[in-house]
Amino acid sequence: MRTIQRVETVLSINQYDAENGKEPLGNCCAPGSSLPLFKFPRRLRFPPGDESCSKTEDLDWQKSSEFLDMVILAQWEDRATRGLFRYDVTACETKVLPGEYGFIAQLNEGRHSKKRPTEFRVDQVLQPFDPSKFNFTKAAKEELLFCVESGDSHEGEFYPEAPVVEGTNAVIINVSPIEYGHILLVPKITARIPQRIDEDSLLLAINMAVEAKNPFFRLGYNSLGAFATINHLHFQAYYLAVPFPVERAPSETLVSRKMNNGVKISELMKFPVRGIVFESADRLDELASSVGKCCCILQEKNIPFNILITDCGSMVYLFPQCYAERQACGKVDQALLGTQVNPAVWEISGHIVLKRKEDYERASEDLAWRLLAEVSLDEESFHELKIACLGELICGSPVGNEVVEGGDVSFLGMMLHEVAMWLEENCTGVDAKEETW
Amino acid sequence: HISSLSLSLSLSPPPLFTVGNPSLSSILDLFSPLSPTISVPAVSAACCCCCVPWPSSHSFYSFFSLFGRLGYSCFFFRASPSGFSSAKPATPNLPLISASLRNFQLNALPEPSSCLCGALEAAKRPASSGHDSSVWVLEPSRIYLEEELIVVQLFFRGMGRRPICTPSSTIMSAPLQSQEPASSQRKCVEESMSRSYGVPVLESLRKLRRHSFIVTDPYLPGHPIVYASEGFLHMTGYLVEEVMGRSPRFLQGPDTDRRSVLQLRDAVREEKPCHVILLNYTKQGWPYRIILHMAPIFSHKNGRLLHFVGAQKPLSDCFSMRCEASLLELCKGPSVLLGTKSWVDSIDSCHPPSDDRSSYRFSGQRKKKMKIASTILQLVIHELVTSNKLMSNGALCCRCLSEKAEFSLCSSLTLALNRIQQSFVITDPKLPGMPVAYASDMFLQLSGYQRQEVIGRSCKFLQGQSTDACAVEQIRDAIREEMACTVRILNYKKDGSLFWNLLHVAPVRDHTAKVVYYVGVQLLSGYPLLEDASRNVTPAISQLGAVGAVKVAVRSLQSNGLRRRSG
Repeated sequence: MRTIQRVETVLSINQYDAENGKEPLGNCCAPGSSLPLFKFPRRLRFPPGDESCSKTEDLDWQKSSEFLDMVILAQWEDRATRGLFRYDVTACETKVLPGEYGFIAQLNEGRHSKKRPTEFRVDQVLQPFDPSKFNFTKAAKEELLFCVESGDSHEGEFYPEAPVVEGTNAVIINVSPIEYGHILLVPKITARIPQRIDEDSLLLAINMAVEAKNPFFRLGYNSLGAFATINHLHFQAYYLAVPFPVERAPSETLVSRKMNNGVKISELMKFPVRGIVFESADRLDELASSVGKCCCILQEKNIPFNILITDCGSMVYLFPQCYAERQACGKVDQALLGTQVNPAVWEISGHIVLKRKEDYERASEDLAWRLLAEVSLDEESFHELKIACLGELICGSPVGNEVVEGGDVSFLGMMLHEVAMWLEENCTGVDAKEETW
Repeated sequence: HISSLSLSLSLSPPPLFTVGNPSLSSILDLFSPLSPTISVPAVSAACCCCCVPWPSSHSFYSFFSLFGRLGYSCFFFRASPSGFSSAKPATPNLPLISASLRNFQLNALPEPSSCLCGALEAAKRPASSGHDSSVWVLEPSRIYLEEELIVVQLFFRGMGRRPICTPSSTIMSAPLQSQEPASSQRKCVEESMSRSYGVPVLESLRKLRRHSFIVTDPYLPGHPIVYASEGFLHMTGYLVEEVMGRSPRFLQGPDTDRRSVLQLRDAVREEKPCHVILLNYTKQGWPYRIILHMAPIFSHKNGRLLHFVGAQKPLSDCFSMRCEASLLELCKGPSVLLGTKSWVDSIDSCHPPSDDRSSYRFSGQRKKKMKIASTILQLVIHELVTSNKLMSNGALCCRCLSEKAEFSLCSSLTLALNRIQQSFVITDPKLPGMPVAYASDMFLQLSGYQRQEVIGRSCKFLQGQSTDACAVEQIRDAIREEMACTVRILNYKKDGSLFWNLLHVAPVRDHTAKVVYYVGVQLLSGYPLLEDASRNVTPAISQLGAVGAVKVAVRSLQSNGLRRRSG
């Protein structure tokens, strides 16, 4: 069993002090009680296939009113004025490091908790849920912003008090925020699912990104072994109105949209961490399905990974990583370990939070690159993984697997050939008219 | 071998398709079995069709790709008792062909389970004519039945052809996609060009109307198009009123590369020029690929960003993506506005990789296209910049005062703030009297003032005789402590009427973590919150939501903010 020592990130105030006495969230989420609720509009549930209005129209800002955005920001600001966060994240200096990619560095001395380092197992991506450890049902009641569910109307709806249903999804604040609006999305909170990805939870996360209609509202996921702190299924999200370096990196197409039901799959190039990019502007369900399948493969192979959902839910990045493993084997450079940066999804994407002032002063794109190079899988393993994922996806899709029925095609081919012959015989060779444009 | 057949030839009867009035019999000729040719203005195509058994649903894609590879475009119409009706391809991403033909004559009655399959190939230009010998491919055609008229639209992919038949709004009853913008918003859109360049610029831009370019204004909500050339309208198939006042995002669609969109967004944010290859969609939904060159225009007087100009040049996409990428890589010249000789030279010196024979053959076109797009851009920018110079040398109008103060807010921050649907002002605590740096549209509506009357003035103008001094003191204390506060204060509108204002004031920090602005969000007691009324949103939530949105915007976008620096 391989483990590393690291200080746990404090996501909830109750994690910090178990005997806080505050009413745990789990009790309040029981059916019968009332909580604020945000309902996603109906269009997000069904793929736009036959519908005339596609998702791209909805990106026209004049129609939308960024409702979910407003609800999240308002609730967050409210909790901030009530002093529920451990520090004011807007008072943390941030800068863009010189360079083409524009890595973002933040000096955040308050995030680091004074707790003793605990042991984290890094060689098992799927671990069973442990009710004795902290999970989000034990979070403080004030930390819940609202619940989210799929709704039936054409627009998002908000209810300040709505009866809680079984399997509701919770949005909770992160008391150690990296940026403004840092929240945690916990799918089916009362089901107490351990940290593992499945299609439904991915679809929920993508829906949230779509509904926020803000390309700078990004969601991320860290698996166990890839610096997830709590073994209770959750996504993180926050607002930062800056393009991430990973979004600027080019990519090479592996599978086009047509071959994969509207989801384009490419490989990330010219970026220190090797990753797979999934893109789909309109087929959300297929997007969740493609990414979900790849995650299942990774989980089966016990490879830790991180997921980034960005660009209003139309792009998903998947990063398999091995930093923790290398750290446990002592293969990581001491200088990099000294910065105490745990490369989770935000760091991999290019947003790096630093604890010490001297690290912040000395931060450079070069350093970021070196750090992230340690995170990436090597070329061979990544290639193997790529093949495994693509195989799963292409063989599964009806078009990809299509063995063109010999009969039909040859018939048409014959017909075409005959016609062509006829045309050639019967057309006089009149020159095409020159036309001017 | 079929693909090497050049079925070139054509008849020369009068143009078959004109807007609104296709000749019925000539269309029927199109579909009679084995009709040899049709004549379309400017291009000749061979067409053949016949009845075949209905292919299995999964095979549609295979057929389209097979025909595509052979250089044909094909269409399918399903037989039904009343003639032929639409065939919906199995994979949802393929274009939908829909129509009904009546009075169709066939030599044999169609079987119920059969379909009409047609294939068209566009003619190759004879090599001797001196033009490049590229193939144009006809996209699957579309046919509309509208009362007694049958309209056929043939759209040619590649080489920048405009649609042969552009359905006018009388034939295509397509719903207007945009809402009617408020009339004041529309006025701003219309005046945007003349305000910065003077009215004569519209005339001088007409000289370039054959080219495709648009001008957008980042200071208006949604970053809308304020000018679109005729060439642009032709290429996209829209009418001018459908385009003005809308963000150019409506041109994008499901197949548009998200990274190119991101690059554009980045350039807009950093106020830098850029060029991307982009996939856009016409009004009818047909995709076409363009090279888009975009550049900002800065005011001659104070260097402030005025507008963005984008010039488009359509491409044929018969070559590999890799060639595209490497070509763009090589063509990354320095960003220039005028004096483009170096830019053009740098394109000339591009040498595409010669390992791929086909890419080499087409790269010449690509380079030429890039040069053309860039040249168009230069011409447009030249017009605008000279007009702007003339204007600034003329008399100063009072509107320029507000422009000066607004100088403190860059375009990307203004763009982000414009998205916030609340009444609020941003004030600058560093300047004496805490002047207003930004006021939202809803604030102007609420208070009755015009934007130029508000920007640069101390926020005290809302206070008056009956305003409680205690409340003002509370605000002042909070500002001194760099804290947020909420007060209920009596304010005056422009016309002198009173209103109770539930005002929330909060400090806003930028990326250096220092307080740079204060945001004041107004709430009129009883003021209907537009959409919020039906949305169960309390006033407190609306106010805090605005504060949060302002904080997010200012943190990243204030002045140089978190822009990339060359290093």
